[in-house]
Amino acid sequence: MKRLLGVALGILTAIGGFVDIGDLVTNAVVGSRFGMSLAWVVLVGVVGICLFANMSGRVAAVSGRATFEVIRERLGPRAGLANLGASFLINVMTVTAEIGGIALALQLASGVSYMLWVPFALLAVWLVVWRVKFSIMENVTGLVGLSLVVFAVALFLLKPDWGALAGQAFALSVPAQEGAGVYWYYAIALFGAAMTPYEVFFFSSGAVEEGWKIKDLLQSRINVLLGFPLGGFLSIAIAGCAAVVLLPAGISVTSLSQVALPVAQAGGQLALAVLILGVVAATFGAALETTLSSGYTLAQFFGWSWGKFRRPAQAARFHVSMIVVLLAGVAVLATGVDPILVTEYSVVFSAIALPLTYLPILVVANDPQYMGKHVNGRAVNIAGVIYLFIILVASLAAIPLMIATGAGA
Amino acid sequence: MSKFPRSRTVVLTFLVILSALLTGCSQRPSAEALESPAKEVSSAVRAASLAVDLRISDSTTAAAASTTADDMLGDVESATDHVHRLSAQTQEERVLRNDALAAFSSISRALLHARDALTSSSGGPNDGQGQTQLTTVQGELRVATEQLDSLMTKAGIQ
Repeated sequence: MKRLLGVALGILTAIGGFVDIGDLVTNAVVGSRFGMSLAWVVLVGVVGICLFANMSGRVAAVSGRATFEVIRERLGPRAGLANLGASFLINVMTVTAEIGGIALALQLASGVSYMLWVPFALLAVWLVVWRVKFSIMENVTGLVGLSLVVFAVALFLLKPDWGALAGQAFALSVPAQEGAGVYWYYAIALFGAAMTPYEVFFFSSGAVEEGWKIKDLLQSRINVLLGFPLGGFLSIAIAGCAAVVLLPAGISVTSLSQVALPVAQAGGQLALAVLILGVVAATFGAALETTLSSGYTLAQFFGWSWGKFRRPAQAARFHVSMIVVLLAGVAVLATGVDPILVTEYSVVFSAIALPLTYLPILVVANDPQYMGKHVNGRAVNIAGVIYLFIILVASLAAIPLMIATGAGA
Repeated sequence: MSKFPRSRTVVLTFLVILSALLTGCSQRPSAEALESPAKEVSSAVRAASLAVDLRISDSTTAAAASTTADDMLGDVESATDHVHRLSAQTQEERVLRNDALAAFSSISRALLHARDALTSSSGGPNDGQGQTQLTTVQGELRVATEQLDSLMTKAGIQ
């Protein structure tokens, strides 16, 4: 019974923890501009993150080593450092976007400018990272983040023409009012939002934090294979709400407040309150994950003592690096840069940097010396290689498309 | 050849390329150049209008609706800055740019009124004065939207 509860909690946490500011914004932007015609990308992204998280979780459980320790060992210090630089910068961008997301959600609740909420968000994230146990932190934010199910409820309450939505989703064509370049640019952004590297750093380091053993692999597999697809369903619901209300009204999403309009229309103030709670939980949870991921990547690469299972004094450099990352994020926000803009760029850069972390994990997950009998099976390897190809194409196409389309303008 | 003239040549070449790029990038107020800001403003005014509608029907809170109006005001300001930077060279271009700026200005004013009305009114069906204020603002937003729509049609923006 206890085990069953553990599995259920893991799945619920994975669903609630799947959506972050990147998913919220990108899915709403895409829904308001392209309808459901990019829903297939969410599907591709969810399968990809399941595959990636499954491999990195298995590597961590079998070897007791997290992603960046493996990357440094496989690539060597020089190539590893380049990898660290790219991954770390994207992590800092994502931390910035998530803290901005918390502040924007609080502005939506209070009407007080988000800039005034930023210091509070910083303090709250730091306090939780510093004081709260890993499992409590993960479970509470994941479970409260489940409030975002309100998007799915709102979609049903809006009584859309399901046939028309399905038609858009299965048409696999570029809508007439948008260019092909912009369509593919947002396809990459959605893919990057679903397959954010920090999720994998956090997942694999969390496996070490929680002391996963080989016997825990089944539970982790169930969490990933059920939790992430259901989280992907939430992403599609966000796009659906935007496609039903905003697209026909000629509204293109540029702010978080617009993302809330369809939910308020469908379910009134109660639905809006649940939405704000969900957005705060989702962005707060993601801010914790990205902050920790920044500390994990640095500490694992440089061989520092790391982990929340240690007292902060025993992992001082790990904790200091996280404080520096949080301050850097807040410094960026203090310049007045739009957090939504940071979010839009962070998901695209996530897609660009993805091969750097995906390839070493794919290689190690295939290494019998490392993994013993837990190496990738044939089916996983075929899927792994197909995804390597997709990830490389997305990574190479992202910057030219960004320049050609003016970042999807 | 000494090092100094060589570095000066590099700097000069860089400046020539930069000025050529800047000259090439300086846009003129054609329908094509106005399309993006006009669509941005059109989207912003429609979003604010929806927020006011939702507030009138008590489906959203004053805080959320005024945040939407404020965000949309920011979008309109950024589009206005963009149009201000367009350099008109012919009379026709000047007229097009001025018409666009006039339409954007009406929308900015309507959005400001909307934000103020949303912030000041307690709203809800029982707040008669607040409802009247919001209905007035809604009318203002609709008129500004129509003005922009007719400009977009005139300029051939889809």
